[in-house]
Amino acid sequence: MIARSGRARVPRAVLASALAASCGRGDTYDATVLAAASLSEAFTEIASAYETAHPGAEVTLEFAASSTIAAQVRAGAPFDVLATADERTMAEARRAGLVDLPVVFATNRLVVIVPADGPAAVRTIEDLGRPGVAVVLAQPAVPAGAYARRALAAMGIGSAVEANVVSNALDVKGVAAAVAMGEADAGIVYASDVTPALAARVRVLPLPERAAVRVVYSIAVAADPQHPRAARAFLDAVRSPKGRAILAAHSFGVP
Amino acid sequence: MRPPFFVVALAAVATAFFALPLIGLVAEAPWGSVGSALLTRQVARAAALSALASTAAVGLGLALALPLAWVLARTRFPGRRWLRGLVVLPMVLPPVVAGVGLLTAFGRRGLLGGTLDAIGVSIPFTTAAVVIAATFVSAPFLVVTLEAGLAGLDRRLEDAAATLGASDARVFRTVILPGLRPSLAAGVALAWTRALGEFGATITFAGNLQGRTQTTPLAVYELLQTDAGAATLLSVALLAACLVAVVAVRGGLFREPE
Repeated sequence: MIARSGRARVPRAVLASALAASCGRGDTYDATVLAAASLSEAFTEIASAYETAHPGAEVTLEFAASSTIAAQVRAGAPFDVLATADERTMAEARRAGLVDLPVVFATNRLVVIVPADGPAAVRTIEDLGRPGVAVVLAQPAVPAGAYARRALAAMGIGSAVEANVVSNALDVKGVAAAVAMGEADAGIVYASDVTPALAARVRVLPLPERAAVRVVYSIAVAADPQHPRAARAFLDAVRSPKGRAILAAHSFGVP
Repeated sequence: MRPPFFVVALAAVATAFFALPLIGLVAEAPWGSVGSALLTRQVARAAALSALASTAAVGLGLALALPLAWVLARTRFPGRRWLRGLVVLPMVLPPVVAGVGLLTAFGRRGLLGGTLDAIGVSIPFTTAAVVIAATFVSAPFLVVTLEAGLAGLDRRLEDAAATLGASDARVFRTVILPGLRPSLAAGVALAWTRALGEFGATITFAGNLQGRTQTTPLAVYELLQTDAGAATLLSVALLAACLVAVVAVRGGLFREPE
């Protein structure tokens, strides 16, 4: 752009750049949300509702194991909202000064899934410990993997099942995929992971009471968000009646 | 002819682009805790498995690549170009796609699933699966370099040897193989390091279990979630292994053009 007159252009240029600078941070409702893999379906729907409520806004979602996204955040990944499948991962992020005060927004249950046409031998959770059964769990560092092992330990079959684990998936969706494809005889995922698509390919075995573990989801705004107003707005959307209804529809518990 | 300045400047930028991640790895690694980070059972098992699987993958790859390269270099048939494209495909395919493909071919529900089950063989989630995945993605490098090597041989030497009474096998051993040495070296270096670094196909087809299928890259990923410093140190170790492999076959890759 060729300036025609030096002095007359300067104030306008200053105004233009000031506007541009203020639009860079905080003025839009665009949000970057990092969430646990198990929140894939629910948060995609919540983001959709959010974008409808804030026309022009764009929500960028990333889903991965809570431990993976926590590692990214520790490494400096820019984000606005963090949602984890356990309080421990969130507490570590809080201790590292990466997030503001977290709140619990949902709960979940563990279920055992087996391929729909898999060996009829796996009928109860105890069968997971029987020799020859190929079990897939999430990695121990991933909440789904930790919860699953805690449940199995509570049933006294922890080491028996661990001996049957053929793969530690990178996240809970990896477990679902292995069972859905029939490559594993059984896996432990969340109740919310049993989407209609997955339900068509697996059978669900519920966990007995004594194996029940408290699965708690935590959400927080980034300590230094890219879009502060959007961060707050998205978190509010998750905790709003509409957000809670969406979570409930995906088999989450809403306290 | 001296290149123009802008070419040299861009080359310098390119060098920085390639060098910075490597420099960063070495600089950011917590060298003070290298002992406690790397002298663990997990790292030892991952390193041993990676070394074993990559070498096995290259061996298997050579057995597959040499006949293929021969056919491609020395025969003419319709569709030869398609065959070459097919063989190069695993090299350019996203690794996780390769993994899904391997599952649909060799998995329990795959094309060969029933047959394999009938003979009591199950491949996914085994060390064999690690080798197969690594071979699938790295063998194309061998095919490409061996085909180029074969195409570049002077046939007259082979003809002369044959005229002097040498059998096909002897011609292969004494004339062809030595002539292939530079391309073999280059291909093996590329294939071995590619096999070593394989992640997506491995995690999908072979899974992730310490001692059985957790290769070094998978161990790095797992460590990244719990101990980023150890992950960085292990990454440097992987980097060093690749560097050694590439330098050791220096003759093939880096020989200055005469």
